[in-house]
Amino acid sequence: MISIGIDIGSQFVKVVVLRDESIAAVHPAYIGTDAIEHVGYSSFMAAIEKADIPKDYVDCVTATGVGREYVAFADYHVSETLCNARGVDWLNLPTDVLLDMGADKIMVVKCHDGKPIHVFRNDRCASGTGRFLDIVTKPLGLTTEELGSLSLKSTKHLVMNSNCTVFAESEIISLIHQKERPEDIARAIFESMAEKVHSLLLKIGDVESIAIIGGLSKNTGLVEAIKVVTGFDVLISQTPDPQMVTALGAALIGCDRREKQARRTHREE
Amino acid sequence: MITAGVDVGSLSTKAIIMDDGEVLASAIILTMPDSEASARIVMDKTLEQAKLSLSDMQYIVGTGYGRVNIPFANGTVTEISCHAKGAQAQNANVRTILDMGGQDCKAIRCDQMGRVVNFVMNDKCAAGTGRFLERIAAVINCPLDQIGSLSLQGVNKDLPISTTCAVFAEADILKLIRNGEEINDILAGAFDSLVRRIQGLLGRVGVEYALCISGGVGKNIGIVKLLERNLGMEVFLPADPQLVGAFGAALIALDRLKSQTSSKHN
Repeated sequence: MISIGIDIGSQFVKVVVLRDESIAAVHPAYIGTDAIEHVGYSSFMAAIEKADIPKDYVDCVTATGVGREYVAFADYHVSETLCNARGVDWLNLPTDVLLDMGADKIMVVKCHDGKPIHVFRNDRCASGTGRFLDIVTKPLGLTTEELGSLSLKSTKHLVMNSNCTVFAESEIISLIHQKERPEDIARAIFESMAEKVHSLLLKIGDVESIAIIGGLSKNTGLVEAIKVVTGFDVLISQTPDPQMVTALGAALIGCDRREKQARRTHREE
Repeated sequence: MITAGVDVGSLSTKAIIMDDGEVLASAIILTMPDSEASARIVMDKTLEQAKLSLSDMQYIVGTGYGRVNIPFANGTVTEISCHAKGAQAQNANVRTILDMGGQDCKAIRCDQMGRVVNFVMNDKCAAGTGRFLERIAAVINCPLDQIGSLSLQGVNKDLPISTTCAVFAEADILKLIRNGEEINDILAGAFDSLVRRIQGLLGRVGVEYALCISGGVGKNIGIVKLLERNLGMEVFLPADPQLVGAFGAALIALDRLKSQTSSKHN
């Protein structure tokens, strides 16, 4: 069976092509200012081309993410929470708690058997999200990846007072004016994000290890800060890219549903 | 008796010099990274206007975020007390004050003497503050002092704009611009979002007539009109909303001076 998962986030479209429960291709694309419908369709086409699969061979398409309704050609539209739980289950990591860190959201999910049982997410506030990181990094004139590796060299512990992204940006500018070193500011940024994550994880209770997925899980500085601040074991997927796990979950759920359907039709016959 | 009030805010620094409660001179400058220097510069400007020198000042009260950094002040008072005092002195009916500054927003209740009875403030989140307006103005590339009147020309079409986060609201606005919505309508929606947020704050202290709007955001006609419409109540706008804190500080300075001299006579 060929099942495609399309995850439309607020900044990236992620597509996973699944052939008989193994990954045939992945394709991430930046949305930018293009219409989401277009990016969704062109990324889908690019992904199946990578896997060398003609469009007619695709059995089902499952869309997820905040923009999932824009994928009109999808067979199923499924919430990210379900896809996250299913995707992480497939990775077979020794944990039942996942943390999804994206451009606009932070989500923690306690899973059982590939299904979510408790979900907590940031409440319409950009603090601690990818957008927060983008905005507070700007005054330092670095990319967020550079900020990540730089933070590992920090020797001085600074504490940020502002939670609000807008006020945090001003705070960073004052820290620069006070001649604090960029590596120390970088660590303070990541630790403030980690604090936000920690408060969400504490709502779940009884956590020892977590799997991080989503675009931000690729930032070494953030991952290190989360380890230090929470004290939990942090697991990150190698293949596929952790940013693609939600789309992977969507493709798997598509498979599950098709198989269920097939069994039902079979019984009816 | 010559007194002065200096209000070092997060965005602008204000000063007023008065003679027995009559304003002689006032000045507003942008706050610099060094709040002590900001206080000095604004005081010098005001003194120059009043043709007086610092030694002529009998009592100076400092207020605002940077009030502890005013070496020439004789005392400091929180901006909450100063706004209550200043607003009530300009209109004896005032019982509620909404102080909307550059980085915070406060809803204050006072008695008939201008004394603070209760207050709530938001200084943790940029949504519902002057900063929110600044960011909106930057996103749509329009001067800050024009977005108020532009918003009044728009229609509130219930466009989806976040009320809880300035950053998400900005992203929402960008999306709406991309979808071809009119700037005026977007502004009407954004102002609605801001005002709903402010009403939440006001609701926590309760609004008692008359309501005065002070602080720099009081200069924004779009906010004032929308708030009047939503509350079904006329709002009292002081001569210069931005100067209410400094005005109150100078009045408190006068009160202190009077009680000092009377206690000396006794």
